[in-house]
Parts: sequence; C-alpha cells; structure tokens
Amino acid sequence: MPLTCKSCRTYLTAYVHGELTPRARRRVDAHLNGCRSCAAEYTRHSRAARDLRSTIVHMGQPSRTQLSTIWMAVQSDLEIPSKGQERRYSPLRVGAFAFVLILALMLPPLLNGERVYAQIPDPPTPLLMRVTYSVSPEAFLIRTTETREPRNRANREPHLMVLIQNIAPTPGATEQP
Amino acid sequence: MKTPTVEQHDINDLIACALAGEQVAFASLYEVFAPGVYRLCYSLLLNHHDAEDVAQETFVYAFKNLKRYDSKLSAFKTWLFTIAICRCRNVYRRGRPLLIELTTGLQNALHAPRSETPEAAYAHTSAKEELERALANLSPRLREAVVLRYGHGLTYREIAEIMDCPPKTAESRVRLAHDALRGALDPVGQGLLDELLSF
Repeated sequence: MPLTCKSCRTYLTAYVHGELTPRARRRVDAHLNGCRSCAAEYTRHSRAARDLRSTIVHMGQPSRTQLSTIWMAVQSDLEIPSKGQERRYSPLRVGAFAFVLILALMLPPLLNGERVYAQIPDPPTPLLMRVTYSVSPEAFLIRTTETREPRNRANREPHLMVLIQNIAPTPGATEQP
Repeated sequence: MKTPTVEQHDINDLIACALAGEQVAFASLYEVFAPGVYRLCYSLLLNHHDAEDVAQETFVYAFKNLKRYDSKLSAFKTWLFTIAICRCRNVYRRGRPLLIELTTGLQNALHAPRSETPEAAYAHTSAKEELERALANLSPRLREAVVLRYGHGLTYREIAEIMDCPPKTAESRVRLAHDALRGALDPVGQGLLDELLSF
C-alpha cells in the first residue's frame, strides 16, 4: 500500500537518520520518487541534519589556554588528597595528640591526690550473704537471706541454705556475717 | 584544535601505564580526551565556566577511579562521557537556568574562511547563536542525545549506553531534538515568511 504525504512526512526524520526498517525505507523511497513536495521536504530535512552536524561539532571548541588551565586544576586536585593524608597521619602529629590525651586524663587525679573510681550502680535486688563455715575446712555452709531492703529487718529470715561440701553442719560451727 | 587519533589498544596501554603510576600517561589521556569532554560539557551547559568546572571534575573523578574502568564493558571515551553527563545533570539539578553568554559569539565565533564574505560570516555566527538558543530551550535529555549524535558522532548504541536508556529511546530522542532544532538553522527570512503564511 503506497504511503500518503502525511505519513511519509512523519517518517522523514527517521529516514534521514537511517532508522527505518528496510521495508519502510523502500516505501518512503517509492513515495519520494513520485512526490516533488515530499522530496523537497526530505531535502530540507537532510540539509538541517548536515547543518546541525557541522554547527554542533564546532560548538565550544576549547582553546589551548583553557585546556592547560583545566589540566593544572586536575593535577592539583589529584595531589591535594595525598598531601592531606600524609599530614593527617604523620607520626609526630599522632604522638602529640596521644600525649595531650594522656595528660588530660592523668592531670586531675594527680592534682587532687585522690583516686577516682567510677561509681558502682546499686543492684536492683541486692542479696546479703552470710557464710557459715565450720572449724573443719572441709565443710562450708552458705546462707542467703532475702533483703528487700530495709522494709522489715526483724522479719528477715533465711530462705535458702546451700551446703557446699558436707551436708550436715559440724558441731561448733561458727557464723560470720 | 585537532584531536589526536588514538587506537583503542593504545588507549588501553595508556590506561595500564597510568595505573602503574606514570604521570605522562595521565597527561596523554587528558590530551586525547579533554577537547571532546570540554565540547560535550559546553554544548550541554552553554557556559564556559560551568563547562570548565565539569570537565575538571570529570577528569579528577576518572583518574581517581581509573582502576574501576573495564575496557570490556565500554570504550574509555564512552566511560568519560558518562561521567561528564552525570556531572552536567548535577548542574541542571541546581536549578539554575542555562545562561547563554552574550560574549560567546565573540569569543568562540567560527572563523570564516578567507573566501567567505562578511555577510556570510555574520550569517554563520548568527546561525550558531540561534542554535545555542534553541539548544537551551530543549529538554536536557533531548539536548544530550542530539549533542552526542551530531557533535560527537556516536552511534545510537553508544548514546543509549551513556544516557542509560534503550537504543530505540536514544533514536527517538535524537529525532525529536532534530525536529525541534530544524527551525533554528533556517534563515530568519524563511522563518518570518512561514509565520506570516501561517496566519
């Protein structure tokens, strides 16, 4: 089926750029051979493509000076990180930093003459332990008492007894808090 | 400026030398590709200052990440152009409208052949300015496609690789940009006549 002028013109740009399938190209060729108006439109398209190509190619041609300026900037950008890294990790700087850090940690206790301890937090449910042991070194008796502090110290009763070695307490066992 | 023609295996040799730490190889790579990268940046940004900045960023990034380049995946030129276009897109994203330098025509005018009359030279320069205005009015994607096709002679496959789109999309973008730009190169009188006839 031959192409109409309207459909031929929709194909023209693709035709100029060589994007059409061989079959579509043959149909456009056949139409252009018989239609002077579309042939003229095709000439305008191909001339535009040629002009665009020749104009865009020359757009923004850099001068030698511009390229040299950019190259110098590229070189300096490539060198800066290596210098920065050397400076950052130089042993002298690391040593000085470590010395200042140690001095800052050591100075307050040395000046106060006291030792600084970290405060131990209160346990949530403290347990008091009483160790009962006999004269004989073989037997140990451990008693633990509940210490839901200090609600009622009088009612505090031992609730667990653990005998570690000998089951029976030996006579004359003493109790130590 | 004439870009030196270097074969792909020479480029690969240069890259190998650059990776080995030879400064001369970096300079050679720059000499071969800098004009093309600069032209690409200028054609997309239409501003010499931005083009210089982006070209510089492109080469700094490329040389720092040279070991990431795989010659089996793409040509070095395509890889460089991909980096340059990403940087140009960052410039678009800053939201600054493209400004065409008024002095562009004076600084960068095409030199007329000796045989060319002053009128012809003026027509040539004004055509270039018109084209720059028309390029600035195109959407960034169409501008990228047409510049890569006409300005750098890349194939649709290479354009698709750089623009990260299917080759058919690259083709249609070039075609749309071509249609949009066609009027820019028509003589002013013809354009006026067309406008008058359209009423």
